[in-house]
Amino acid sequence: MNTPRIFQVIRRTEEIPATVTLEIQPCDGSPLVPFKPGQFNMLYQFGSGEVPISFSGALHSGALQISDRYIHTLRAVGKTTEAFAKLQIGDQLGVRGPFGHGWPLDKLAGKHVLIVAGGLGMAPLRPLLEVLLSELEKYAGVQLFYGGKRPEELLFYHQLQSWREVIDVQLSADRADANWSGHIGVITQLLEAARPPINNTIAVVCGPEIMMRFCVQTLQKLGLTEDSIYLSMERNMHCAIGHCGHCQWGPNFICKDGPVFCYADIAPWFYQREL
Amino acid sequence: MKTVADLVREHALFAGMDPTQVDFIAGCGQLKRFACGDYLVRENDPADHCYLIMAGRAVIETHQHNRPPVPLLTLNANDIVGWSWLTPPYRYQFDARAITNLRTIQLDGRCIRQKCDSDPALGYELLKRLAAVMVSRINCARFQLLDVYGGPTP
Repeated sequence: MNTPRIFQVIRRTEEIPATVTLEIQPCDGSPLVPFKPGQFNMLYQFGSGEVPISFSGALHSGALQISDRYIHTLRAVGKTTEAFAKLQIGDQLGVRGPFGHGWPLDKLAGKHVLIVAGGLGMAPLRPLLEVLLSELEKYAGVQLFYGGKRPEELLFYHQLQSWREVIDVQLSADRADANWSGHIGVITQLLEAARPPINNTIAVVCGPEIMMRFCVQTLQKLGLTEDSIYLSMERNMHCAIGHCGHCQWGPNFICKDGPVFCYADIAPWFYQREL
Repeated sequence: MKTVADLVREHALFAGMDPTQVDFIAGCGQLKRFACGDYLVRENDPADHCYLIMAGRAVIETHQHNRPPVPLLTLNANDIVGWSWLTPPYRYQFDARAITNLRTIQLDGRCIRQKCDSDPALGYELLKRLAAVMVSRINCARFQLLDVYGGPTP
């Protein structure tokens, strides 16, 4: 798992500007190591570098199954991710993983699940949502709250529409024109109006840290306890196995102990500004 | 059939408020419906009313010359539209437009001001509640300015 395997791109989708989804398969045809929603791979681009990227899909051909490919969605924000965003079908890359702890699927059964995503944070939540949707009867309810700066910056637009047929999907944009039928404002306003069954609700949140901070405050105002909120955290991950220390955060290594954490376990560190 | 007082009592702004005080305020209200596209208030018009949204959605927006209006905030059931009636010069600062059919309680601003002047306890209670809404709106406006969705995520 710690030596990169060579994969090739078998499908490439431009999601929104500077953001692509890559579907990749091992070049040697060997089976994929199964992953859990919320985990990540280290993707290695020859000559550029290595970056941690969460799994962004589990579905293949419309049905949930042990997939024959990994799916990753990434935004070109630096030299390495820009190189990944330029990859075309047939291009090769190195892959280490899967790494880390994913979303707490075992704790969600029977619960009302609030999925809260911001910007590119929808990507690590999509595999979780796909699992929940494949066995919807196991949960008391599923609601998705997804916010972005502008409507055209929301990921997976067509899927959002199809999810809307089976679960409550509420979309929010900071700015939009009059053609936008979703909420204009911030995602916390939608959350405040959600009125979930507080004693039986678990919230899973993924997005930029500042957005998660505001969402946690809102969820707590609604009455959710610290142990019913889960977050996917981000720090500068290099080795992905807790050796190098780059992603140390208080007593935790994000790569090894996260990236998904229960808020109750990290609350003391969440407002430490120096970390 | 529900009375205006019943409906005002159901609105989140008045949750837990002394029923006598709510009834007193409801005396300034009447049911008002808007069709999708109707304006509730227009910028610079006299701010004589505020609206408690009971059902439907509205948008706060501002206009600009030769360009489409700029939507700023969507409001839903249990939200309140307009507080320019509260402070001089009592003129609306933004437009508010229904983006679905809308059911509201229209409260007469002058009537409420008079009642609050005559009953300071009621005025204080109402201002505390409105201040909470205003704080929430200010926080949300700051949140919007931050571009919180822009950062990279794992």
